[in-house]
Amino acid sequence: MKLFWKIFYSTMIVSVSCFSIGSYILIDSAFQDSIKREATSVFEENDILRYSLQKELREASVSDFYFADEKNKESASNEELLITVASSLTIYESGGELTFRISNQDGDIVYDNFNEDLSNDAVTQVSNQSKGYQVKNVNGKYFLHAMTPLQLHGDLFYIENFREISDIFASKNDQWTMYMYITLLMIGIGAIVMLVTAWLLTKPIYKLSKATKQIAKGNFEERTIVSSYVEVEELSRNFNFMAEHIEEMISQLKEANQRQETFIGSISHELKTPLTTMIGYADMLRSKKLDSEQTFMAANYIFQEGKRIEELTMKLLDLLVLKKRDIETKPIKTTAFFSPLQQYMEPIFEKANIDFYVEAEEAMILIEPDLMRTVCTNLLDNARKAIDHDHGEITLHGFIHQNDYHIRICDNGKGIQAVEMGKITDAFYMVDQSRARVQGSVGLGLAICSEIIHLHKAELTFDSEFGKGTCVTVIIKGVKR
Amino acid sequence: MKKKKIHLTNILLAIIGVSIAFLPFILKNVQEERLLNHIFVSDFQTEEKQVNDNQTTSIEEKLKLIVNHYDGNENIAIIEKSNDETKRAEYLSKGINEIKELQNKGLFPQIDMQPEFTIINSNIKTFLNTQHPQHTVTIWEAFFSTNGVEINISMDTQTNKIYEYRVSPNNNKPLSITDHDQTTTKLANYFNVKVSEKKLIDKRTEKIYTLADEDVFISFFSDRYFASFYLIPAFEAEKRPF
Repeated sequence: MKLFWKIFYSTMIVSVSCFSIGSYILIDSAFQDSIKREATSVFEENDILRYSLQKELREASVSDFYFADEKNKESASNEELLITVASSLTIYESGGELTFRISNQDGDIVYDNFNEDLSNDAVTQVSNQSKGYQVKNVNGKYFLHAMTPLQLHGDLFYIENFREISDIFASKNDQWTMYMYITLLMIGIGAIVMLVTAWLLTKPIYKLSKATKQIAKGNFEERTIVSSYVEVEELSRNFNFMAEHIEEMISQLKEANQRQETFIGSISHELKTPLTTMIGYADMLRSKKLDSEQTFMAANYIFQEGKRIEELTMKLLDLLVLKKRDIETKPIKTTAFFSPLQQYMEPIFEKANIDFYVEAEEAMILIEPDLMRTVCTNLLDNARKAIDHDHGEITLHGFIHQNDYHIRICDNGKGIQAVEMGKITDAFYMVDQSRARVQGSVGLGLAICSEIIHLHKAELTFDSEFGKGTCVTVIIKGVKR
Repeated sequence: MKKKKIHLTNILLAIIGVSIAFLPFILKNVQEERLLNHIFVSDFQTEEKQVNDNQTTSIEEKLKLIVNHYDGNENIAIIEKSNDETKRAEYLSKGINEIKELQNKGLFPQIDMQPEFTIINSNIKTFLNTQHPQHTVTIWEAFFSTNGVEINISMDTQTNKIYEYRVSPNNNKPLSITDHDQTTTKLANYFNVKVSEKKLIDKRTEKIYTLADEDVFISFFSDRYFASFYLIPAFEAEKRPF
């Protein structure tokens, strides 16, 4: 069932239930109160009748008002005495003359000045220690019939009196008729109001549903602008946020996919180039008879290109391993870190006729030493490769700056053009491809460095001026002096 | 199939809603059926409802009962006793004797009380306070004539005292009762009460109300052809416009 109908029916049923229960309680309690009030009044009248009869009965027993002679008085039964007294009395109260009836203990009516034909079958249910009343309907008229016992010299009689309460029933029926009209009106108006309300409530949800379908179809630009009420507005905002996030993730996934394709393309290219050379030279060795010098040269090409492929696969392996690795850092003294590095690099730079200067401020840094050494070796090697003149100079400067430790490697090589700065950490990207290949580079050094730096939660910044040199800074977070 | 199920649910819910709206009618009829002819019984202490007649009621209390009834007090009930000729004659005889008693005390001696009386109308009424049923007074109200004289009296059947008395001689014989104070004193003597100096004069009717025993006012009025007296309780006299 649709939410629209659920809202409509639940609201209608709840409101109709509340209204009908409330009306019933209200009308019924008013009716019951009226009946109780009338019962109290009818018993008060009954009391008046009782007092009057008792007084006159007492008087009758001492005076000769009711009986002409003493003989008659003595021979009269209690019932005759009661009938004589009752029939000689007319009793008034503020509401007018009181009509009443007297029954004996068998329920037989012995005196009656009430003109309606009302049965007294209930009289015998009233004992000499109780009183009772009942509501009766006689020919469309409603009466309240009260009964109380009257003891007369050992005989039990019942004083019965009546009060017409047709007005109370008529009033109750009027109230129920009014209830019926109001209920019908309420159902009519309520249904219209609730249909509109349910429509207004569910409209934004339908809009959202429509937008969801669009997104499911791949239309990630779809957005909803719903401003009906707070909850739906929030849902709409969250939906838009989710859509934006999904769109961003899809875009990232696309980019990652693109990068992966490029990466695979680059690997294929990097593998294909040396393989082509190797196949060419191998074919030459196989098909021609070469002299020893030519044979050496061909074999040497094959060897060198083979080494390049080996290097390439090792680096790729490193990169893959790094991407899936968690590192464990430990505190290392900068002197203990830089000294072996300097010793390792100095012979390489001497061979390349490059001056190498190391100046490191003493501190304790939190690193994985082997990986950080790879970073520094790669960066120093890149600096070496960037120098294409005889007065090469590379400096390694370690210093503390604002609670971080900076390792800054600068060279006076040819520098990098500004347009290439954003791509240099991409795998297989080489600024000068032909020269880099000659120098045995595969274009994965900075990609590996970048990954290691990322694992250290450190930063890698480049500062280069084309033709003058490049400075690369590794910023290691947290330092102890 | 699903659509059919939804339609059925809709119809069912609509029926439930309408049934709830009209459920009170069913409940009303059930409740009415249960109410009609069902006897509601509760305890009844017969002793509490017994009237104790041993207590005597003072003149003031008796007057209060009468006055309160005519003032519309709902707690006062009236019992009217029908009486036959014998009873009427008996009460008339008592009434005539009391008028003679009044004359013996010097009140209205001019009225010629002939032995032939014609009762024009008479009633025996008991005034009863339903809140205090021991307080009752039975009055014989009569209008009769004798020798052209018309007399109205309200007589307490227990004490035979006349609380209200009006006389108008039809034979144009002037009553000529002029001494108001003396008559009031004689009335106080008749009722066995002491008159005080306190008097209230109704300017509209020129009636004079004289306080007796702090609780009762005696009012006496006469002109050439009419004389009357009656007693009223002090609370009622003080309410009247003067």
